Amino acid sequence: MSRLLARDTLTGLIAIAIACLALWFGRALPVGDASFMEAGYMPRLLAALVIGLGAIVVIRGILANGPRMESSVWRPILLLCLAVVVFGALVGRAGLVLTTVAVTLVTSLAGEWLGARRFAGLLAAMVVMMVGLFHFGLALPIPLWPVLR
Amino acid sequence: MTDLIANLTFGFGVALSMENLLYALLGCVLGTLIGVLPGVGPLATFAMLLPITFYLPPIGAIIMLSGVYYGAQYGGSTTAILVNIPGEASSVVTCLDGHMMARQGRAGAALATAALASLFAGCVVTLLVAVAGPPLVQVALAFGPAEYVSMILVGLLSAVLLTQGSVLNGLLMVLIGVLLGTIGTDVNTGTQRFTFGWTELADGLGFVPVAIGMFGLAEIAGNLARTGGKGLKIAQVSRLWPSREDFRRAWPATVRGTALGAALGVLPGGGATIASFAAYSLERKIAKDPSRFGQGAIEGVAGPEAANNAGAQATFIPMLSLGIPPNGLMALMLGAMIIHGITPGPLVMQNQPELFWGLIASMWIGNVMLVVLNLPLIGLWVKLLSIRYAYLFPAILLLCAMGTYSVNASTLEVYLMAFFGIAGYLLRKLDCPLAPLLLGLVLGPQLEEQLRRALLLGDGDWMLFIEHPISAGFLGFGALLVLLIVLPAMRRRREVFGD
Repeated sequence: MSRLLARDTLTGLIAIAIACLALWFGRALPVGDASFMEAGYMPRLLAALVIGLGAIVVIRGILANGPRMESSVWRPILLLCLAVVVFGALVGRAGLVLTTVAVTLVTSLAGEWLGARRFAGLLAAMVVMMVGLFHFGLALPIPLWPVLR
Repeated sequence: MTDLIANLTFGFGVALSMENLLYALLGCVLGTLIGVLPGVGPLATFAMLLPITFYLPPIGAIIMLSGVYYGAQYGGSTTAILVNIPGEASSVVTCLDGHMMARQGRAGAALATAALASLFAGCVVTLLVAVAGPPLVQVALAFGPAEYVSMILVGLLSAVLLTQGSVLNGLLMVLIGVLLGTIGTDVNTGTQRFTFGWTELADGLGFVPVAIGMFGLAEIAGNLARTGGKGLKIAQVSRLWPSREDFRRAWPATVRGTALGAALGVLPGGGATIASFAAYSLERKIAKDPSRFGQGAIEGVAGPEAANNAGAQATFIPMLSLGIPPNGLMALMLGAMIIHGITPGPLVMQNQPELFWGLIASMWIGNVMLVVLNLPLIGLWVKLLSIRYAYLFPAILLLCAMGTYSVNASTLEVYLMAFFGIAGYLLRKLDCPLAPLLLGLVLGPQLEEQLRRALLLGDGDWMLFIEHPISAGFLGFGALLVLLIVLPAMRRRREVFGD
């Protein structure tokens, strides 16, 4: 079991999974042949190569019983990605100011706590930066305040 | 010769007009300013500033946009060195040694080297564009699809060669990158592939969300995870100017990088990215002690920086003469020119000599402006490092998100960026190099198009890649590279670079 969790084994399995997804979702694409390739030719060719190479990596991982994946800290990356999703969800509706505040709040959970006063300063600085740069500086067509419909 | 001097004099006459000087300056300043912000790379910078130029006269607009082009690229390498976030694929390799130098307190030397190497390459290659432009175009014109395919393949191979760690993982990443590149509308048949009904994906998976997610987000998270939320402690910068020893090591690398960049940049499908990767491989290969690379070797900054600037400058040749944009930035430039009523192609040099020669003259002016502007400002960029990470990373994240959003005003691309952030983080943990994936994604669509064209013309016979001499030469070179990796002695040496 532990051999299946070796870093290389996991890498190969993930690659094979991606290739299988490509084969599945591209199953309806016409293939054609080498003299006239249709839309499905390259994806299938690439998926086959990935599966072949992935299998070699898996086998190597099992045989070599190489290093396991480093135990990793997932909290920061998940919080950062959550912050990005919040940005995407809010930016068109809540306006630049509220979006910036919300995103900064979520983002800051990933790092050290600055203390209330410094954090308020950070929030203000972020709002000034975003509004100054993108609303006034680059004049992007993004509303400052929530769009009421 | 007299022709050349007359043309250049004419060009300088155009570029040195007060108005055009101002546009060049504006372009350089804006490009650097936005390019230097972590997570806002040249592509986003360029896209954001594009609308402004629609109010300018055509020559002024093109001059300003080229200023943005190299300003942003310069800013991108500054960010790569200081914050380890490459603004663009072409500054990925600058991160390797440039950021390591910054961590050792030699950020100033790395930045100055990057600036001077870029200036040197820019000046030399601009002269090359002027002198050898027309004949070089003839060479590139002789390339058929088979040659393009082989050239792109060798470029991808060299990307795998230079990555740290496992070669097999690198190959896997390239293949997955090319596979991701098949997302979108199939150019030949108009069939939708893997778009799941999202119109945003019809033009293909954007380079920006993938790059910003994998390099921006995953990097911030990596920094936070390593240091328990406090961020990286970076050594104080005591010396801003490269030492005599640095100069001695850097200048031959700069010359080599310039030559390599010029050669690769003129080929469509080549350009800044492949040039910088190839220059890094070259420097590491010919170094007496290759183990210094990845540990802050100054050649690893000078060579690729010279090469990517040379390559970037040289990409103007196919763009202006053939109307073929070799990369995303040039594609935007092409779009801007068309909006201004200029049709890029062989006729530009004949019908609009003031544009062609004025642009060439403005490249010199722009390159000099950049160094004059930026060397005094290096202190300011370095100061960015001493800001507490808890203040810095929310700003970086906001700019990353905004940079991605502002390219297409697409929410989906923002979500994709989050997805690729997690994917990049996982792949890093699995010891999979990310740069080859990015390169595969960028070059994949071109590779597929040329492959299909080549095999269509060759009636499906795969042997044609060996039968065309130039193509066979590329492939032979690639095979040689593979042999070198497979040699066990080589492999042992490579493991030294793994972290």
